Amino acid sequence: MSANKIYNNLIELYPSKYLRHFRSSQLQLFTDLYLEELDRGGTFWLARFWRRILKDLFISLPSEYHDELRRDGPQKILKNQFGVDGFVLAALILLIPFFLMTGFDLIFRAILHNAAVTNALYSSGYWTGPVIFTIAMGLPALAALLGLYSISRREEATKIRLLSARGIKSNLGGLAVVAVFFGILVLLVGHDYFPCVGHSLLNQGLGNFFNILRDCRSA
Amino acid sequence: MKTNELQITAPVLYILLTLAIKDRHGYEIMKEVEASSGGKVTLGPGTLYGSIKRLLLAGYIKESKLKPDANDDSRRIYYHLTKKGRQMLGGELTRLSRIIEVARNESILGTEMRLGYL
Repeated sequence: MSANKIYNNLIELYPSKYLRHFRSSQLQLFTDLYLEELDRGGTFWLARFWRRILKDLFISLPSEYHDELRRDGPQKILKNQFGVDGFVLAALILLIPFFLMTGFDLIFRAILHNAAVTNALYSSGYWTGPVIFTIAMGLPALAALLGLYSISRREEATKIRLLSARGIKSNLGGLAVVAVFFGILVLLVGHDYFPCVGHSLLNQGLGNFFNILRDCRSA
Repeated sequence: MKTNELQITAPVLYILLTLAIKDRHGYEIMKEVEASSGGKVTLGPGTLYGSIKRLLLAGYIKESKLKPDANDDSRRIYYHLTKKGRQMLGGELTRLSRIIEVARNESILGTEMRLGYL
């Protein structure tokens, strides 16, 4: 990847409104400076050059975001720049039960060596296991769908490549929700490494599903 | 942005000073600021265009329609010091020169130099 491409991705960290006006000028200036450093030659000069560029980025980024926050407020920034709209917020609310349950279980696991919350819920009745399992998996799945919908309705999703730095930045909200869903799936599938969550949800939830199916068949 | 919110920092003052001489584009401003400050003020692309943005919003500078160098890259944007910017720069320089005058009268300025000779 050339220096220009790296810098082009780095400046995506700036607020969108700022970039609309100064992206090309800033890139042009970077190119001028980079060519100047190349003329000097040597790894030392290039290392010094990148140190200067990164330092500039760390100084100017907070200042630009501070300006945007003062002018537009946090809600507008989250919506316009990172794609955090009502759908993403609804998706995040849907994810709360899953994290509450697993969070409590992790704490109880650490204290009592036992996934107390889900164990208690699952053992309370014949149908509770599958129901909780469905809710625990259904809500994140619904959240992921909301995240995908949020991405699809943003104009940026059609105009720019989603997996470019710009695409990721402007759809961060929706992508984060989808990533969380896949994170949950990986967590559950790889439950040998995370026994508390995996065993309580997968084994008990799916186990009860199969028990019910078997009972239905034999009845 | 309200104009009175603009902080007149050293880089901002140097940028205005370089534009008071002639219209310049970003790279030229950066080089001139570095040269006129004796290398004390160095700007990166982000800090330069951040300052330019604030100066544009405050109405102290504007984009110049005329390009002084016809052979230059057409994508380059030249900046021009406005009347308001010139007035502000004049006022700021007068304020600074008064401070320097007081310091000189009170024998504060150049103390280190004199001590150096002792």
